[in-house]
This record gives sequence, C-alpha cells and structure tokens, in this order.
Amino acid sequence: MTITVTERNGVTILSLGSERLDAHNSEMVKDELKRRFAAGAKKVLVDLGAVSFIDSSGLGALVSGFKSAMAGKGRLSLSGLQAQVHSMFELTRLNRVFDVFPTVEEALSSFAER
Amino acid sequence: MGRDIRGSVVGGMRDEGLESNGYGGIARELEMARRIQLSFMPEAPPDMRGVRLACRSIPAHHVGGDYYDFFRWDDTTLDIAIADVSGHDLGAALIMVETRSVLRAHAYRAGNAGDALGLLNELLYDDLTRAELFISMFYAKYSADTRQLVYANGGHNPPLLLRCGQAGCTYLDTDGIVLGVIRGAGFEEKSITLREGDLLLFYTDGITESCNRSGELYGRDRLCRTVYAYRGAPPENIIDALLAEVMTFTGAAEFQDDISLVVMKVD
Repeated sequence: MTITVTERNGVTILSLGSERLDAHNSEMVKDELKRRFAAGAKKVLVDLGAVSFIDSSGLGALVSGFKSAMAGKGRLSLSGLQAQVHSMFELTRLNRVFDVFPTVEEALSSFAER
Repeated sequence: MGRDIRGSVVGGMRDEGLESNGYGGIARELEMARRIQLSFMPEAPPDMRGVRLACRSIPAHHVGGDYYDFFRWDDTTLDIAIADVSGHDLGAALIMVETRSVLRAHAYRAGNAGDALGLLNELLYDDLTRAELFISMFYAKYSADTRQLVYANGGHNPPLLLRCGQAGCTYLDTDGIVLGVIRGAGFEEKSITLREGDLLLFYTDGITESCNRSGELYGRDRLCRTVYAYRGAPPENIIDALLAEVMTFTGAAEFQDDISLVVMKVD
C-alpha cells in the first residue's frame, strides 16, 4: 500500500492508497501514525477515500493512532468513509471517538475552526 | 511507497525458508497452541431447561481471536458471551486467553450484562492499550423461568433472532463501544422475552465477512436467509449447514477468518 503524506494548513494528511485496510497493511498505517504523533504532529487526518473494505486489524491501527493522539494531546480525524467502512465504524461505535468527515476539505475546515 | 509490498514478499519467503531449513518446529508449536486454545472453548454447551444449544469455533490460522463461553449459574440462569479480538494473529490469541481468564474469574461479580462488559473494559483496558488491540463482545443473561434475555453489546455483530412464525430476522443490538478504547465506557442493556420456537444465532464476523471470488461479502442478509431455511433443524445441524453454505459461497477450501457460532433454540 502507498501512503501519501501531505501537509495543508498545519494538518498532516495521510491518504491511504489501497482498497483494503486489513491485517496485510494495517501495521504500516499504525507505524506511520505513531511516527507522526511521536514527531510532534497535533493535527492528523487519515483520508480513507480509496478504502472500500476495512477489518478489525484496520480499525485497530486507527484506534492505536487515536490513543497516540490522545497521549500527545493531538487530534486524529478521518475522512472519505465508504459504505462498508462506515458500517464497521457504526457497528463498533468507533464513530463516537473519531471526528469523521465526508471529505478532506470538510475535515480541514473543522481543524481550522478549532 | 513500496515498503509494504516488499515487506510482505520478504515475509512470505522467510516463512518458506524457515520450513525448508528445519524450523518447522514453529509450525508444530503453533499447532499445539491451536489445540490448547480450542480446548479453552466449551466443547459442548451446558444443559439448560427449555433451550437447546450448539456451539462451534474454527480458527482460520493456527490460533485466533474468537471466544465464546457459557456460565450456568443455576438451573434457570445462563450467561452467554461471544467475542472477537481485533486482528488474527498470535497477539489476538493471547488476548483471547486473557479475556477468558478475566471473565471466568469476575463474571460472578457482574450483576447484569452491561456490568459484565463494563467490568471487562476496566480490567482489560491497560493490557489492550499496550497490545494495541480491542475486543468486541456481546453478553447475554437468559432466565429459563421467564424466558427473558437481558443483553448488552460492546460493538459486536448483533446476534440474529428468528421469531417463530416470522420470516425476517431481528438483530439484538444495544449502545456500547468495543472494549479497550474508552476507559469508563458505559454499556446499555436491553431485554426481550423469547417464545417457544424462537431461534438465536450468536456469531463472529468471520462468517459475514467471508468473501467470494468476486469480492462480494457473505453478509448479514444471506446469513439470515440461510438460518431461516434451516430453522427447523436441530442447532448442531444449523451450524453444519451454515458452515457448508459459507464454504460453497467462498469457493475456498478453508475459512478466511476465524468463525464462531452459538445457536440457541427455545423449546
């Protein structure tokens, strides 16, 4: 999987370039998130627009990122959840702990407001 | 970034290398771990007046993160728990074993289903944070006297209820997040009175997330249709039928993810 990292308005955006976020590539996302928060990032956005399937390993990577964000008093938001991904967040109620936005632009606006 | 692609190729080659260089002992040890872990699951459900139960768990790999258990407190009270640790590796298996131990030691302290999830969430939170894992769990308390099922859900696949004489499925869900994410999380509780002929299926997502060759998921609707088709069969046969259906659907010789099933029929 490729992870494209861009910086916009002080927000680190990780765009995941895979249709699946599962046991095969979730470690990579987890490590990247850890690295970003350890390096002092406070505002991180993971864009899941390309991801059409996520399993518990994929969710686990994002939860790990959420805890890294909390530990560093940072914020982790998500954007672009497709139908299956959205239903997994609803099932696990993880939509309660993440700020979830339809698009990258809306997520960036939210970061700017706070 | 090709890091992940290279990583996975190297991983595969390393495994083959281990086998060919006589490190097959690791595979044997994992097989032993698989046997021990499977032995932690109740081989058969307890006898309980007024209900017939069947259960089965199949790890996709050597070990897995699925777990179910029964606590028969007396002649009329039975608790049923089903859970799934995130991930599918050895770490998930270790957490599954810890979850079982903690639940078995503390289930008696939980006055109700929501308390059981709350207690586990508190007791396991630190370990789950360190392991970077979480657990989905559904917990139910059944009273054979009143046929009342009181339940709470911590982000697990809602069990399917097929009412006698009705075609569609209802899903037993309550408000609760997966365990290990929020310290002090609360878990909503609901109750339902079951009737003679009702059928309940508790399951883990390995069944609904089974994928066919076109990438289509087996899903909840197919699961409901299959259970409905076999609703007249004994619980054990319903499990056999479900597993056979999923195998046919995927067209694969092995299951892709751990699958656990508990069927309960009310007499």
